[in-house]
Amino acid sequence: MEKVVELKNVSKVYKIGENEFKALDNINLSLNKGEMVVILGPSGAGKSTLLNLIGGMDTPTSGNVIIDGENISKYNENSLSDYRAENVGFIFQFYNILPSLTVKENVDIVRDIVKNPISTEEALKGVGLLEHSKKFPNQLSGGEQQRVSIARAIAKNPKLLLCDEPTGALDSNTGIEVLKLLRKQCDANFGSNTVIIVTHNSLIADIADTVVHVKNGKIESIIANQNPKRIEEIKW
Amino acid sequence: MRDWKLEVRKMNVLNKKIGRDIFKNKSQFITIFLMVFLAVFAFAGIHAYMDGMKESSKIYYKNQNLQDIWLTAENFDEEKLEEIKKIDNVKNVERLLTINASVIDSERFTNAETKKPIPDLLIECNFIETNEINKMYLVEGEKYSKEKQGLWLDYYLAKNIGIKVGDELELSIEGSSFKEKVIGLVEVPDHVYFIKDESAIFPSHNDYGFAYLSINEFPKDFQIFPYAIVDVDDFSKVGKTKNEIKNKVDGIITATLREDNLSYEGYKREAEEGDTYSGVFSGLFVFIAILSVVTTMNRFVKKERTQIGTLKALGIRRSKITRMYVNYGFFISVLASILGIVLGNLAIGNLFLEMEMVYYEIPYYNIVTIPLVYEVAIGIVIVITLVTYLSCRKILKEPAAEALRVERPKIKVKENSFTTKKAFNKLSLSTKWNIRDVARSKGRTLAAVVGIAGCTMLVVTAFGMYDSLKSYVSWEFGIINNFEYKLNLSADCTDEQYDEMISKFGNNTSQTTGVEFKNHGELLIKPLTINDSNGLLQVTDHSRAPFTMKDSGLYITEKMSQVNDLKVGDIVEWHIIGSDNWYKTKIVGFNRDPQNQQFYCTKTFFDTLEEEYQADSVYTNKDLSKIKEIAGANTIQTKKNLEDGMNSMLNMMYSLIIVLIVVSIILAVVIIYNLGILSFSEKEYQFATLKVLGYKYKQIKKIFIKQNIWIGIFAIIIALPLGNFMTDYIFKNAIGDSYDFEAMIKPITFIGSALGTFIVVYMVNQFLARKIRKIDMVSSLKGNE
Repeated sequence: MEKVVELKNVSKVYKIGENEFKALDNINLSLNKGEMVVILGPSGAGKSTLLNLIGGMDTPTSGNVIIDGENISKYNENSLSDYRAENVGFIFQFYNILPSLTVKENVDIVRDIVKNPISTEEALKGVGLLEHSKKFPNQLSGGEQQRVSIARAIAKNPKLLLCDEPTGALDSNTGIEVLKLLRKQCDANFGSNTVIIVTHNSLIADIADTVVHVKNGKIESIIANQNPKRIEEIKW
Repeated sequence: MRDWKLEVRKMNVLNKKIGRDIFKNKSQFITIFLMVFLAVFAFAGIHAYMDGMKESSKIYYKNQNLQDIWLTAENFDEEKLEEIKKIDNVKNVERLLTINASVIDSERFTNAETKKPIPDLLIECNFIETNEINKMYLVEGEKYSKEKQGLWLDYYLAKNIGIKVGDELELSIEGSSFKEKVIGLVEVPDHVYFIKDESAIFPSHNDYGFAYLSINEFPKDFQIFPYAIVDVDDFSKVGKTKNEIKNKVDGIITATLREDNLSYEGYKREAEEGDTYSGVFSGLFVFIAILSVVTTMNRFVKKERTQIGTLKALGIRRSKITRMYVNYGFFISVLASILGIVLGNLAIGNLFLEMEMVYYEIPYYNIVTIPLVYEVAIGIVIVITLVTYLSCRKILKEPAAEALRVERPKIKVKENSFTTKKAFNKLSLSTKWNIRDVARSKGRTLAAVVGIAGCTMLVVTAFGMYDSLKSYVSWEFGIINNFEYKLNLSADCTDEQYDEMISKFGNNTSQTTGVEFKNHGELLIKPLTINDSNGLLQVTDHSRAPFTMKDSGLYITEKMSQVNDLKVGDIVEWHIIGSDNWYKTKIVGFNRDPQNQQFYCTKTFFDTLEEEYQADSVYTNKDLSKIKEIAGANTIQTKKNLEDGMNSMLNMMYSLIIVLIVVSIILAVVIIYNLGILSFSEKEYQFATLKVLGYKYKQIKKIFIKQNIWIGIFAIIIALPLGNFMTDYIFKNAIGDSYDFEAMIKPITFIGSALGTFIVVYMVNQFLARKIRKIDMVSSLKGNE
């Protein structure tokens, strides 16, 4: 299998006043292209830090983050912006869509910076929001807002879709709808897209191709799921 | 029962939060502090000195019993004096003989300004009997008594040229000389603003002063009293008393009130002129600062929404949460207001009052803080506190669960919004973003436009006033006064002396006399200038261009016509003061004069009346630089001297305008910086999102700066005509009826103010844009969650 994400001896240390806090401690990790990966762990384990490093939102204190053969930990700010624009779609727990833009405009905003985006209509159709395209976020439910966030992410046609607790603010049914969309994105482009989900919800791990357990800033285990469940089968 | 220990503990925690929030948002709180401070500083400082001038004179006039009515006649003999005393409401009358005396051997004294010997030192000698009205304020020496020999000299003159008590002066009056010892140095309430004549403009206190002597010092055979001063019991009836004196006592030439007294009016005008324009200014400072602070506090509280919700959800009482947020605005505005009042008084107030009092003779003066200043300061605190309270209450009214969420933007959906049009989508990303943002955040945009436009308007107005005053001086001395020298003829100038002057320097003369005219049932006094200057003293029209007057009637200045509701073609009934010949004359035209509102006519017209033309001024362009004295002329004035005098008089105004300019610029920088911070902090979350999406620093910076530059340019475009309007308003309406000039702002001032504001907007935003680079995407987005 082709590797899309490789982390080699990655550490991330935060300085808080005089004290140092090791969020990630000498991590080594490889993830395959086209997989749906779930990173599991308790709060404070370092899951989000790991995701931020992969997404180029943060840089490691030491070690290398290699994405598709490119060592992004050596990138400067502009190169990281390009990397994020062209390769990564982000989905957050609280959506982080822009309240003063309509649904369509929230998706449009990424089209200006990406070389090969998919059309806004297609992205919105994909998440079932085409008829809401002229609405503003405050007129949508939480689930719908998360779908806008997914549409925005997939409109970039990214190699990597990074999701930080994407169902954390949603009820079970809505969460399942969101996970279906993520799986759909993973399967798109002949299965070449990789979706990484960070969550503390162990039930979601059942649908993943690979499950990474993180604890105290270290990888505790990497388990390949031979028989991932269908999304309809899970509930919380 | 309330657990007070718990309450105190909660309060301590909240107090810690206040401290930390202030530190976290220090830039914003510092700008709030500065805005309130600057507004109160300027308001209090300007008022301190203006009101100080007014209050000090009030006290001085009261203590020294300034005359209520001023009378002239050929001679106030005992009989006339008794007649006046019998009139109802007259408390006391004193008579005096006033005559100018030259000091012999005056070159031994040195002019404090020029440091040169004084060639002609003139002293106005007032020979008096009693001194109950216009009482002398004794600075040094002996108290006045009719029985004492010697003179009580003008303290300012003595101080400037180095005369001391005990010195002897040899004075000459109409060829007779006599020696008097200086036995006191005094200041007198009707000599506060003391100049040689109206052409002097500016009190020099170096070559002209006044002295008081007992009438016993004047030769008995020549003792006459052409002047009398009256003190009344009830000041509210002073007008009626004046008319009664004029009607009942024979031989009264003029009866005038305090308002017609050159000293009283000159001082009052100075205090009120500044009062009006600085009032307009300091009012604007306060208004713009309040607007900015209130907007900032409102937006600050809104930003704290989820924290307010959290505190409420935790069970902290609404009143406590409200008090905490109200405290931010309250304590900062209280502290800024107190400092503003104290430093405004000390810096602007004291400095300017001291500068003024170099020219005006008032022995005791002090800055004054009138209740209005405290009221304005308290008002600012109340408005800021109230707005913070209301913003906080609005959030607290919502259920805790709702307040915990970020406020939903109130955006209405429009089906056919311009943002859906094809043309719009062709625009660049930053343009599209900013058009949307401006259209959807109208309140925020409006606040920014008003803030920047207000500041630019202040700067334009302050510079505009400077330009307009300069233009007024160049109108007066570049167009109207078209001569190089002006000879002021002495009252005793003989025909021979006059003829000789005319033959030597040309027959270019004028006479200015007082006339009384009937206007809508009222008798008013105004000057009339009979102009025979052959163009050396020009008369100008509405657009300041010189024109030749017709010989068929009277001209009247435009401002006077407006004030007195007189039109071209109206018939005016008038007479020269001192003459019983009344005339009915048609107004044949208007002219404009920046500083004298009066009548004008030609000598040809004047000669048709039963009056004798007696020139009091001769104008010439011949070189008189080597001539020191001309027989029959009191003074030889050069145009340059007159212009310098005018500029010296305006120096105070220029200084104050410079203070206004400085405060306007600082306030503008602070407000623009504050708006920039607000704009940045409100968009930080959006910028963090864009950064995550892959936008580069330059793209986000372009979005941020573009909007603020649009707003800046739009505000500047609005502000320029507003600044012109404000300057015009100040000069046309606020500075008194004796002046007539409008805003004359140079194009360079507009360009400079616009460019200056633009540069400040640009620089501030460039500076703030650097923060975009420092946005930590993770914590920004988390923080918003």
